[in-house]
Amino acid sequence: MSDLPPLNEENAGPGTPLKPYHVTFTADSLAPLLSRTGESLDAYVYMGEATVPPGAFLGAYGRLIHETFDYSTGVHVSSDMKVSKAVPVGTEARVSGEILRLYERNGDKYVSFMVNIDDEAGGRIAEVEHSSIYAFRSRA
Amino acid sequence: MAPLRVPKEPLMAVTLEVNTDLPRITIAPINAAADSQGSIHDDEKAREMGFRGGFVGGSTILAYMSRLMHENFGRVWVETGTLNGRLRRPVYEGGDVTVEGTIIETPSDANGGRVTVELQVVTDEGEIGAIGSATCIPA
Repeated sequence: MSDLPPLNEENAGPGTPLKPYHVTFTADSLAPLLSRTGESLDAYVYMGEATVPPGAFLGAYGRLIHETFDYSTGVHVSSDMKVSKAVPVGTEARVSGEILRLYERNGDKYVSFMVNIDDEAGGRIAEVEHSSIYAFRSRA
Repeated sequence: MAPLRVPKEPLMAVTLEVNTDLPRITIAPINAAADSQGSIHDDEKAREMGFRGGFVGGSTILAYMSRLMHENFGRVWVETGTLNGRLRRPVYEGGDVTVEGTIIETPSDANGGRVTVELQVVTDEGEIGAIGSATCIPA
């Protein structure tokens, strides 16, 4: 049983901050993603330095929302990502964000929230507007 | 005027011309979160909800698009990329998907020097799993 509050209209109004976390983009932490996409970190070496694949930023939402709210059956519906700069593997980042809106469509309930990925100096690395269905209409 | 070409870094050169199709990539999707009980990636839960099985993660599907952009635009994708991805249908483990991209806008002063690529991820059953568009600023 989770101690986190449920994700709903009462707890997650627009502007609600999500619990930030710190992450280090290491070769080991990137390996599962690269395995799934069929890539190698070698392809991301520029000027002798491996850089973090932008695909890694698309998955940064998970801890942010699931360490703030209790909900298990969500379905990712969209991501709008903007990369601001390339960062080398080994970069430490702070991931933060806030709820943008909750809305309903065809009986399913959606949440949109920002995912901001910044370096330790506060410089923006990337941002992603993420949307998921967090509660399904009855399909019975 | 001859079409611009992105420098060959790191993988291939792209002709920057509207309607140019980028070389497709084919990937065997992996459901890395299949053991995440109660989630949509869990076979049992997904079937209970009326789906064929657990979904391959949406961020993984969109990362396939990122791979296509990287293979064609290299470092500038990593430095200046934007991606708007929409997941349309579940993608399941067990078949291949093809990632397709077509240049729909070339860099100009009006668009900040960005090339825009229309993208889709198509299952081997011909269903569109995801659509999107991506941009970057070629060197």
